[in-house]
Amino acid sequence: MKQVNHHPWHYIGGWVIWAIWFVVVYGGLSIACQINPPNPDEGVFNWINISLACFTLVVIVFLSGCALKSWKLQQEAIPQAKFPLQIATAIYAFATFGTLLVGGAILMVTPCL
Amino acid sequence: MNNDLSLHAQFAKVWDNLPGWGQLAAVNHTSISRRFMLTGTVFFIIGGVLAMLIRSQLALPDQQLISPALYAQLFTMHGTVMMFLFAIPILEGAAMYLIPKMIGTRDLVFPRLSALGYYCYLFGGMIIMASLFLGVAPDSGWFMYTPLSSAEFSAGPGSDFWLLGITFVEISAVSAGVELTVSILRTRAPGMSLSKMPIFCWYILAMALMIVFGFPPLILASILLELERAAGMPFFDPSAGGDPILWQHLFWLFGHPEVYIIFLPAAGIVSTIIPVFAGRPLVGYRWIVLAIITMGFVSFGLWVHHMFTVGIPQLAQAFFSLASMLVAIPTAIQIFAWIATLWTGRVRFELPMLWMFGFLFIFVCGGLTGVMLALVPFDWQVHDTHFVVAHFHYVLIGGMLFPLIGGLYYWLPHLSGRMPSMHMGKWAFWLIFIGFNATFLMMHLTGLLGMPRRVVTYEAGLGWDWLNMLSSFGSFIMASGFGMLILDVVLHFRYGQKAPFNPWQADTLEWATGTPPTSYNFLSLPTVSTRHPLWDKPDLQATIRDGAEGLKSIGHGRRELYGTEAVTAQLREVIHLPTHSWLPLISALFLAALCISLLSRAYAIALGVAVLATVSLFRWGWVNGAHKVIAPLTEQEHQRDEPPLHSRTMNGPGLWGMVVTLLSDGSLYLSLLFGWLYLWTVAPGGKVPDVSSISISMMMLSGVFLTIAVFVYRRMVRSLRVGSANNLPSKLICVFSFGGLHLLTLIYVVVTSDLAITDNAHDATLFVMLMFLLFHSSIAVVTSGLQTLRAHKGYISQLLPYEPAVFSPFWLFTLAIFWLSFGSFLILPLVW
Repeated sequence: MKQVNHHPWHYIGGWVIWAIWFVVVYGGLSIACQINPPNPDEGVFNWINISLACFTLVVIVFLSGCALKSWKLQQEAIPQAKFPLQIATAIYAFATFGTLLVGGAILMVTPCL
Repeated sequence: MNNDLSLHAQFAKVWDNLPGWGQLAAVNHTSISRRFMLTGTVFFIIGGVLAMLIRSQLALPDQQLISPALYAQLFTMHGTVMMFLFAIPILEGAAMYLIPKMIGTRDLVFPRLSALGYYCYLFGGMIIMASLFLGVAPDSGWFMYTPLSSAEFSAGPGSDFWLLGITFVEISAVSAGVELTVSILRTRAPGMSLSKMPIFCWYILAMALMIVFGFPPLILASILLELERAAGMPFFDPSAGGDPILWQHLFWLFGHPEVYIIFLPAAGIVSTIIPVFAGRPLVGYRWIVLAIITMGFVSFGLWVHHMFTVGIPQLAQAFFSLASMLVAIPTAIQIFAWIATLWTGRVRFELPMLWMFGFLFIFVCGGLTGVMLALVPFDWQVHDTHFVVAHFHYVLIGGMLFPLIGGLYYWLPHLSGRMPSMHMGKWAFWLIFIGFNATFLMMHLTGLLGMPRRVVTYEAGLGWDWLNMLSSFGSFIMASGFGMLILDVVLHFRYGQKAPFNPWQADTLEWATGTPPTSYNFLSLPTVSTRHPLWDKPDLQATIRDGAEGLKSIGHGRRELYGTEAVTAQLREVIHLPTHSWLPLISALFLAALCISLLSRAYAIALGVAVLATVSLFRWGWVNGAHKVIAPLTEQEHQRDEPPLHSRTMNGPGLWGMVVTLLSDGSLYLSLLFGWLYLWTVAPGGKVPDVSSISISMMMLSGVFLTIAVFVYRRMVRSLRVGSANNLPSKLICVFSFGGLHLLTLIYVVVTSDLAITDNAHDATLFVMLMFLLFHSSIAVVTSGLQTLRAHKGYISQLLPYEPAVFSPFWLFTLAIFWLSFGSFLILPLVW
């Protein structure tokens, strides 16, 4: 996805990305804990949480960028394109928030316990 | 006037059902959806009787009205009937009734599929209910946790009835999901862009897509558990590399979205009714669309919150706990939008509004206890207690049943042409409202006091006695309310006042069909330019009835409707629909026979009826498109002032139906892939053998043949797209040949493999994967063979390029799952 436009994909794009992020983070955590669980004494900042946090940060930046882009586009859009762009803005923004909220646990909870 | 009558008679001749027994061949959405709703109501009454038996048993401590074994069957069947045979089908029925009328068209886009879905539901429901009357009903709880439901602890046929019956019923749900999705996206009235679509359609679109993605994990889980029980494949047996927790994952991957699948259409009813009685448009239409889409997605990320006590790592629990709280936001958006609509409108307190207020009160309470349960430590405390039972009844009865009954009263004049009784309706409401709260509010307390769910009785003196007595008393009040409701509805058909046109002054198109509606809904199809067509154009019903709108020709004898662009709803083609047919009933009968023969382990008979079902379904596919009894090519079709028939194009509803079906299929495949990865990486005894039991080289050869077949097929479709049909039959023969070689090689791989399918879960999973590939490859090859015959008969040609375009994604899907399986199931373990 190079840019946001009024294509119907953007009705769901934000949440599709969120869903993929969610599966990768949950699945990745489960597999990582099987392969090489970190020492619980390391606390929150271990290789698993740092990797998951970096990935989460990338997703947040991308989603918020899409939200910003669709917000700008909808301001200049023709009436027929306003509706999908407004929905897309809200979806990307909400998905950013969802990623931030759920991903916040990575900074607070030790994995594999 | 005579002209109109004669036009009406011509439409009726084409669209009406056959008389007498011919009704069984009906495919019309109004008839089929009524059957769905009526059958759902019967199952609701049965489920309600089971609930009353449960509450009678629990009314007093140490009671022995019902034996423990029967009690286990009762609570299992109560949950099963209410969730699978009442809630989903009745909402689907309501959606199937309303959607075509709301979007300004004459029928759903795959009418024979509607009929097949109904019969699968009916027969599946009857098979499941038969187990109760035979005294062998499932008794492991409605979510059938393994190992309780496995052969070791449920040796009788109860679990088999559940697994096979529910899978059969789910054919119905998925077919309705596909059909509603495509109908909403491709057959809306010209001009009804997504931004002008009635809000109810957004809800149903989300529900339909959630069914498409959400049901396959359970279908897969049911297949795996039945294979374990019937053939000894140890998917859920830890001693052979399986894991019972896999069942929980697959079940709740379906089960949690299921709650929203039930809630969303009910919320759609609320969003439709409140603005009508507030006399103003819904506040925050865009916000509600946002909330619907958000709920549709986030609800798939919550399934583990049903499994907080099984030992999942804390960080993973935190993800699901937070996601569970996240979903409260879109719910709150809707509630605030409804309140704002009421606040800023002039509310008329008609009967449906009583149910709306009941819904708001009860659902908000259920939502709040839901947030409590999302907190992991709290969930640990009340898990498997009556608190959970109380919570989900507040959510499901408040969130689904109250709006559904409100919707029933709202659309009753549409269905029958008569008005309900305000007096009896009020009695019914208050009895149900008071009875419901008396029943389930108490259960929060018994749950907090530690009363576990599913116990057949309890000792006196634990502090639960009076609460249970009150709860049971409340349930009888609620039951009397339902009795009153049913009486009101039955009596209104005879004694209700005649309903005037648009009795509630609604804004949506279904009220322009007349009450009760004709079999074709609209004599001419309207063009829509606003979100509230009947408010902005009050004479629309007259112009539709007078034939002043589109597609009013009927002399050709076809059932036709408009096909429009998915987003903009610009007119693009005329869709012709099949008329009444016995094939759905025949196919469903064969499938029911298959289900019964599998239940009775009569595998030779099962094989025979499976072949008959397959023949019946391919026969169905044959009588299609430009077939001489459907829509043969004629000179006249180019002379009328309408867009082309869809079977003359390459982007008709069939293509959309295929893609949506493949999304569902893909969901099932991904569930299988998830199951395999789970057993490999997470299951305690999971391991993969060092050497593959399957010939890698022969698999590769099979894949090469498949790739060539798909390459040729897609090139052929590309040629058709640019108007060239050179050597069409030879290309199809080429596809058939290479597809056949692929299939034969794949069969060889299966036959020569050294899989120990009853010894370890890994090999059993590989076997299921191979069967999945074989199933798809067989369909692809046989269909291409049939298409070769159809090309010879002239049903596929340069002017009729439709069918290869429809089938092309299926070949691509078959190719994709083949190589994905090859890479992930066979190569990945070797290189890991």
